[in-house]
Amino acid sequence: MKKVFEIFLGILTAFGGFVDIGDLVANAETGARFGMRLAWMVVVGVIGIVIYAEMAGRVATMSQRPVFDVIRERLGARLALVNLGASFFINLLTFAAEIGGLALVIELVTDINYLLWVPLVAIAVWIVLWKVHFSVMEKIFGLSGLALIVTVLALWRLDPGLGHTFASARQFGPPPAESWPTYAFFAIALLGAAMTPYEVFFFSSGAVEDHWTRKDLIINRANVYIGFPLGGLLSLAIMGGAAAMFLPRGVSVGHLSQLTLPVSSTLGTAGLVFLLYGMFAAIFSAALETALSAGYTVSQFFGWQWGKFVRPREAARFHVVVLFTICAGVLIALTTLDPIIVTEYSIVLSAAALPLTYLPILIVANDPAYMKDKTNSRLLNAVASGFLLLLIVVALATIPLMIWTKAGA
Amino acid sequence: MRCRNAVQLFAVVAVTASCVAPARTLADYEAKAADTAAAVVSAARTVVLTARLAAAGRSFGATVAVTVADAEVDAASARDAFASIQPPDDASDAIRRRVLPAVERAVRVIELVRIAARRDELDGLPAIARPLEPIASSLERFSTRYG
Amino acid sequence: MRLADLIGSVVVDANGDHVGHVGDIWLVQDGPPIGMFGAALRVDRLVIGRFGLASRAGYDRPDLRGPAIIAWLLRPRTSHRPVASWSDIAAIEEGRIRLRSRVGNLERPRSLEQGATGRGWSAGLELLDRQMVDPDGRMAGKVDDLRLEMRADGPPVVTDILAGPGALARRIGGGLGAWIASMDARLHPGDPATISFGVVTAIGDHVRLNVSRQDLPTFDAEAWARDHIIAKLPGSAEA
Repeated sequence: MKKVFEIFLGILTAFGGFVDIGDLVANAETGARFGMRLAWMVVVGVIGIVIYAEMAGRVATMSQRPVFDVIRERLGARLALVNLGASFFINLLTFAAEIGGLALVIELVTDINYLLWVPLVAIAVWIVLWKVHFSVMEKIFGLSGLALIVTVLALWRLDPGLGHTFASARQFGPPPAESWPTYAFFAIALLGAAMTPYEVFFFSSGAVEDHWTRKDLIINRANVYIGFPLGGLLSLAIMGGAAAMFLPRGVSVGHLSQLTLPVSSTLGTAGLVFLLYGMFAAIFSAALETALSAGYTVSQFFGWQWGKFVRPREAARFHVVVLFTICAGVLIALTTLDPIIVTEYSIVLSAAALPLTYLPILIVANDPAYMKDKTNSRLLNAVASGFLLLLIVVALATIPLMIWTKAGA
Repeated sequence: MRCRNAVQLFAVVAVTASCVAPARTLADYEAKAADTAAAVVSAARTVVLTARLAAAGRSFGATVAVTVADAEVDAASARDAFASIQPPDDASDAIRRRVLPAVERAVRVIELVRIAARRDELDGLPAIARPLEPIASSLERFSTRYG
Repeated sequence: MRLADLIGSVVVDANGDHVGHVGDIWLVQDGPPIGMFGAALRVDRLVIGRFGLASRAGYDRPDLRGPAIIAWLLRPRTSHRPVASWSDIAAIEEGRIRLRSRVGNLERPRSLEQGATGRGWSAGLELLDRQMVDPDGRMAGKVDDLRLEMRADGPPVVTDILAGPGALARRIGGGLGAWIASMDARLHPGDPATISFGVVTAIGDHVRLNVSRQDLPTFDAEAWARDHIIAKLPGSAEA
């Protein structure tokens, strides 16, 4: 009985914690410009993160080795260090985007310029990281993110029965006003928003933090196979709401404030309260995860003691890296670079860097020396290999498309 | 080495993605005018929507103010960018005469909406924002034709 | 001598023909006893050929089969590489190793075979880059490099583990490695952190050590970070 409750709680936490600033921005922008014609890419991205996170969680559970430990071993010191550099940079950019997003949410409530909130938000993130127990932290913010279900209600009100939404989702290819390169670029952005590397670093390190054993694999699978797709539904609801509200009016989304319009117009201030609370919680949990991931990746590469499961004094360098990341993120946000733009770059670069971390995990997930009897099934291997091909294509196409479409302008 | 090259590449990409290049031909200028018109349409309709919500009490004063202020930034920066582009020929001058005044009017109305929103005069916002819809429709026709 | 000096060196045969680069070193546990570890690891063979993802993935092992397409791509590149035993070496110069025999005469075993005199290990796959763990289960760094002691009567044996940025820099090589080495030299002048191989109790998923990590030279940076930054923050002693 207790196990069932634990599984249920895990699913809800994964569900509510799925969305972050990248998903909010990517799905709203895409919905406003392309309707639901890229909804299929959200589905692809969700399948991708499900496969990726489940494998990483299983590897960490069976071998007690988290992602970057495995990466260094498989790629060798030199390539893994370059990989670490790229991952750390993208992670830092993502963190800066998340605290920028948090500051924007507070601005929406107070009408006080977001830059003033950036340092305060960063301090709050650090205090929670420092003091709050790992699983408590995960659950509180994950469950609070469930408030974003209002986006589904809002979509239902805007398009009762979802007839137009589904009809639009069945169409493939850009609408007449847009081009194929831009369509492809937004597809890459959606993929990067769904398959965030930090999620995988956090998830696999979390398996070790929570001291998972093979008995907990079922929780791993349930969280990922049920919780993440439900989270993906929220992404689709955001896309649909933007499509219903903005596409017919020729409005393009460039500010977080515009995301309030679909919910406000259908559900009023009550809905808006839930939306803002949900956005804050979901982005806050992402900020925690990205900051911790910075510590995890660097510590796991160099072999330092890491984790919240030991006292801070016993993992000093890990906490220094986390602190450094928070400070550097604040500095990036304070350059007044638009957090939405930082978000856009972070998700696109995330997509481009995915093969570096995906391939070693895929190989190790097949290795009986690590996995004992829990290696990948043939079906999973087939799907996962297909994804690897997709990720390589995406990685090669990202920079050229970014230049060609001027980053989706 | 690999690291330095990657950084250089990233810098090149970041810069090229954000430049406003000059317009050399009529077609070029028309395209930029269409983009400007589309951006202003987007901002204007966002403000119209927000004004309606505000008066109906479906949003908070602070949220309304921020939304309108964001739209104002979009419209004003689109206007500034377009106004600074040198028209390459006489036909482009005509385009400019057609688009720029409408864009300026839209920006002025949005400013008024923002001022009222910040003063928490939410009931009156739809009235102040009313001129925006015809301007938006006309700019939309332009951007569809030339975009 | 350090393992990093051998790995990556160019190998030429008796005629001066280019054979390849040293990719890996096979060790056998039949040297003189050292500390708690038992018989020390002796250098048995130099494996010649690039040692990249294909080799590290482990597809030369029969039990690693999937995913099918990756195994199909990587497996052929890992087996039957030329190996040179220590007695095949005529001279070791700066970055170059000259062999006594010709390339055609070198053995090409399918994969690492277990020796008769002691357990065999692949340094690149099973020892280097492994996590070291102390008796309390705390992480003590990675095996960044190994120190070899030359012997008059036979191949060198592994005497110490080298850990830390100074040791890692040599294995990374190139401009990046040189930069890391210079930064580390400024912060920690002297030799890189050396851990005697005698304190190793087991090599497996992790390399298990017999001493607490606080007694290791690799702990200096951690202690500094703890005392100068973390301890100054309130609540650092609570879980």
